[in-house]
Amino acid sequence: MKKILHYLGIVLLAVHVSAARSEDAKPLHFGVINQRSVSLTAQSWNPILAYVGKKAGVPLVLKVGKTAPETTDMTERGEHAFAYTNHMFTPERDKIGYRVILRLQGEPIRGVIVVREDSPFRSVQDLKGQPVAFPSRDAFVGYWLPMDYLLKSGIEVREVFAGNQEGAMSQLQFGQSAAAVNKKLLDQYSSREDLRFRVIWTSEPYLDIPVMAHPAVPAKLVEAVREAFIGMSQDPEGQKALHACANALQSRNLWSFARAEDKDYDNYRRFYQNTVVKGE
Amino acid sequence: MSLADRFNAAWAGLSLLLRIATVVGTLWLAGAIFMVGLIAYQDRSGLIESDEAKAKRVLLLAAPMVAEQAIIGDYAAIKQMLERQATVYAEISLLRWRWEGHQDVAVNVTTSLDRPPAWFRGLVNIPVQRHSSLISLGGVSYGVLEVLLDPSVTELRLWRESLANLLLILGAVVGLLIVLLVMLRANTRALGQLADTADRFRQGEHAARIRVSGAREVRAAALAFNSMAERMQQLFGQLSESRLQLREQLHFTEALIEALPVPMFFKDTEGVYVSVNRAWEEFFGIPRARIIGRTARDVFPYAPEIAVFHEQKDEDLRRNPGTQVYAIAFSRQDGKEIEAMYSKATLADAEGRLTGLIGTVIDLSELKQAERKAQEALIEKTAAEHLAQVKSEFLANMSHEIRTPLNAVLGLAQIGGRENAGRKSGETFRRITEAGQHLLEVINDILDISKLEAGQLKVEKRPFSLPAAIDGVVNLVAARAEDKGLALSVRLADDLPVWVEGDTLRLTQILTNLLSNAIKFTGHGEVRLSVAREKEAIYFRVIDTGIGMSEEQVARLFMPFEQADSSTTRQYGGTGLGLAISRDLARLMGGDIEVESHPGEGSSFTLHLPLPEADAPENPVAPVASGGPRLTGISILAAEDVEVNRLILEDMLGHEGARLVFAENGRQVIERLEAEEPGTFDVVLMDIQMPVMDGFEAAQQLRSLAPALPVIGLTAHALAEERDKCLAAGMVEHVTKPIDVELLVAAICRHVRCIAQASEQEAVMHEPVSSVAQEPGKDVIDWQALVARFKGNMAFLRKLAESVLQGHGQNPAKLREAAEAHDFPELAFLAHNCKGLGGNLMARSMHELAGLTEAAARGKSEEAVELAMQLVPLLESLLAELTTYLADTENV
Repeated sequence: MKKILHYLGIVLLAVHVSAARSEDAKPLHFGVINQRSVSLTAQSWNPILAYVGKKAGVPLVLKVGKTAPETTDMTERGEHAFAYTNHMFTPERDKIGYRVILRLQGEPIRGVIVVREDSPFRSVQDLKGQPVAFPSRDAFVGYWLPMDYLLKSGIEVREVFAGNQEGAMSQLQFGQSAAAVNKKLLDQYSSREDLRFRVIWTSEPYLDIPVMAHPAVPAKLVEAVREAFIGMSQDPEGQKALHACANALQSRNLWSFARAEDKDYDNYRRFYQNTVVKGE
Repeated sequence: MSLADRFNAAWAGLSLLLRIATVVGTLWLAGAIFMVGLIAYQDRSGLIESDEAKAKRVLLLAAPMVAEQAIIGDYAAIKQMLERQATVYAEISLLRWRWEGHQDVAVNVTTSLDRPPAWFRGLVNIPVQRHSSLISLGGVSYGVLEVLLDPSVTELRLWRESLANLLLILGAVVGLLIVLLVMLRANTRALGQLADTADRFRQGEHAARIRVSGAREVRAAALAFNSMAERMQQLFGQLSESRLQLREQLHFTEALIEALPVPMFFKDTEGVYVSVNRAWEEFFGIPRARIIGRTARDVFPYAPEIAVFHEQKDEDLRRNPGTQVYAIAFSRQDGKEIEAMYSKATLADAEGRLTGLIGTVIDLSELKQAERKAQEALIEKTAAEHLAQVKSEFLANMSHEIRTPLNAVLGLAQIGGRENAGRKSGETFRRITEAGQHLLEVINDILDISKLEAGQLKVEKRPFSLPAAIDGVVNLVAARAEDKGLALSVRLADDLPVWVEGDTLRLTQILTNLLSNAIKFTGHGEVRLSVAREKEAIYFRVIDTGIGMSEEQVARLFMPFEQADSSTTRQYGGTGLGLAISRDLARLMGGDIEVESHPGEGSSFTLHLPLPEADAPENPVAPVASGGPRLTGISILAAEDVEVNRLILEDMLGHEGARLVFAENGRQVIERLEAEEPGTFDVVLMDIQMPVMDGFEAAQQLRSLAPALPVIGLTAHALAEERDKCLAAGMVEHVTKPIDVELLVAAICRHVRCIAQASEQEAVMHEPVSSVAQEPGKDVIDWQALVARFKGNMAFLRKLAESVLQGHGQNPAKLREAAEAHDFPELAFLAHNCKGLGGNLMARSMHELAGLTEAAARGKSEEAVELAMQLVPLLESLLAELTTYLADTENV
């Protein structure tokens, strides 16, 4: 059933993309994995999508679900021509064919397990039986990496899913014993929301979330989008969009996109093949 | 009736309380409504703002949720969410999301609320509010959210709030009104009480007072009323008292008018009688009942012309209000002729309007008759007075005219008598003299009586020696008593004063008269004079053993020209004026003469006079020796125009040893004196009536020409004023003609050192002064003379001696002191005292020596000291003699 839907999506997208091309103004959906609330996601991504769409000559419309799994489902169904996600490296999803075209420049990302600064828990061992907040079952650095470690270390915890990264951080701030989150996002959140925390476990580093293109999107269009993203930081208009994004996130660091290749994320694929964590 | 009138009528009927309630209630109600409106207006603005805020809040809440669902594309969720939001506020009537080209979601809410009245809605006019919000995220529009607000909810809320406010404020207004009315009612009750009390007061309950309570003003009103009531009660009391007094006064006035013996009437302005008094009824013989309400014509029905006259007079008075007096003669109804005086006055009321007239009628008939009689009497009296005056002047002139020739007659007779003494012609001259003197007495009596009648006689008050005066009188009559073989005795009381104040001349005249009469009317037996003192009065009693008088005779005794019997005149002679004059003189001097007599038993005449004791005069008259040439060495200038008189004077004074030079008028006197050396003449005798220059003028001129030269006036006028005029002209004395040589010599000697005194002085001077007092056996006082002088009145002498010892006992020492100190004024004073003492006590040597001493002391001569030292032993001897006398006579 899933497969039927999957293919139907590809067909639909293809029709859609072709239609867009033919009419030159048919918008393409851009999926963004739910790291923040839908509104904040829209506020931060809409200026970038508007610029890139304009630059690439095809309108890009943000399309997300209520939660990361819902968005991932949409991506799985082929509803997104482009998707900013790192959930598509599982062996199952890898088969759909989304290809990495870009990645956010900067430090690689790591998963961390953190407690509040005043927490009595000193090590991961202390978390045994404790409720731990996770963004979602699909979150790579927020769930797969720490859970894999916990499982391999024999530490059983009570899983609490918050829907997205900031949701998990918010859970830690207002109740849960610990949270497993993307360190980079944590730093942004903590400075914005004044969360005082202590890291008790850090994962291996992984490249940040990539922008992937649906296999049905013509290569030329993909390339145009890729070029638009990459040239953004050098273009005053692009900079304006990036500033709007940073303002929405209340961050001083401007995003910058770099060319990336699909093989750059093979370590994700390898992890999924070796992990003890059961997916859905 | 207009609406305004109706309102006014209704308003007038309202009590004060209701008026206040109506006005205040209306005002407060209006205020309440205005306040509710004001609050509603403020609420309306607030509610509109609040609605707007609600709309914005809904938009603010719903917009991000709508945006999120729009990004996700969950439109069903958007509808659900909008439906939920639309019910949050009742005001929301529509919530709609429109995304152009995508979706249009609208939620309508219908309300079924009560609605306020249309007028209220119209009044508050809440607008329909429409608010919308553009939804945009990251520069991408997600449509428009719109909200529509229904005004009816706000209208209803405002209506309810306003109603609640209105009720609340109305409640407060009613509450306040009730409080106000309760408060006011307490005070209006006091006002009601005030009205009630005032009414009671008006009805006569003057003790009614208000209980003071309520607000300050009401209390003040009550207090004011009470104080007014108090004052009015007092006033009512006073009023009724005054009314009572007024009634009494009115009654008194009526009674007075009724009782007045003067006929009175009152008429109104028409001349109608209003009332008359009893005297009027009696006067006119008409009872008042018959005349009140009628006019003058009814008083005089028989004489219309009289009535008309009165009416005209009334009319005149009415025209010129005031008083009116007129006299009228008419016949009364009973036929009596009446002369009456009408006095009328107009009567006016308080405003000055004429109300009538009042009149009195005075019957002048008797008065007129009396007046006529008085007139006649007056004429008679004037005539009598004139007659008296003429008589008096006639007598005075007569006296002068008779005296002048009598002076000549007597003078010549005296000369004749002296020169023919011892011969028969000498006896004839003596008889001429006696007859002349008798004539002079008669003239003097007539003069006196006429002066007394004319009130021209004046008595003087001067100190005189009472014993000397008595002595003089007794000397005068002693010869006559002796002639008739009568015993004349004098008894003086022990306490008689020596010096008294009075008229010695008149006393002598009265006593002489009384003693003369007693001697005259006593055939044999004795005549006795006893003098006694009772307080200030001296009683002189002359008792005889003569013929006596009947009561009838006594009654007529003091009438002028009367004697006890006309036969008496024939038998005893006399003018019959003596007693009348004596009594008038006694009365003039403040005393009187009383008589006690029985026929055949003799008579007793008592003269009593107020003769107060007096101090001895400083220079008592020195006694002058009688007989002999007393004026030897005196040079006299005499002015006399009548030759006979000059002859008499020359004889009289020449006989006394004086050198006489004559002038015929005043001018000649002046010329003579101017021609002669000063000191040529010792004295001037001045006749008054002379040609060329009379005596007065000459005396006046002499005052400046020779001030030291004494001038003695000689006049035939015996009147007192003549003497005063003489003294005023500068004369020192006044001697009346016919001239009595004794009197004239005495007068001259009073002012010139005469031989009578000089001889004594010379005697003293010739003897060694020191031997005067030291010569043993010879007294300083001439005791014989002294006892004779006081008629052997030992008591009187003793008293005199005591008085002298008491008053002069210290004088020898004082004299000595003054002499040693050469104190001339003191010496003069003491010597003067001694001179008087010597004169009085007949101590001639001392009198002379003292006189010399005084003169020397006044001239501040050292001789005075020596003389004073000689005077001291004399004075000491005199005092010793008096002491001895007192000791010798002590047991007598």
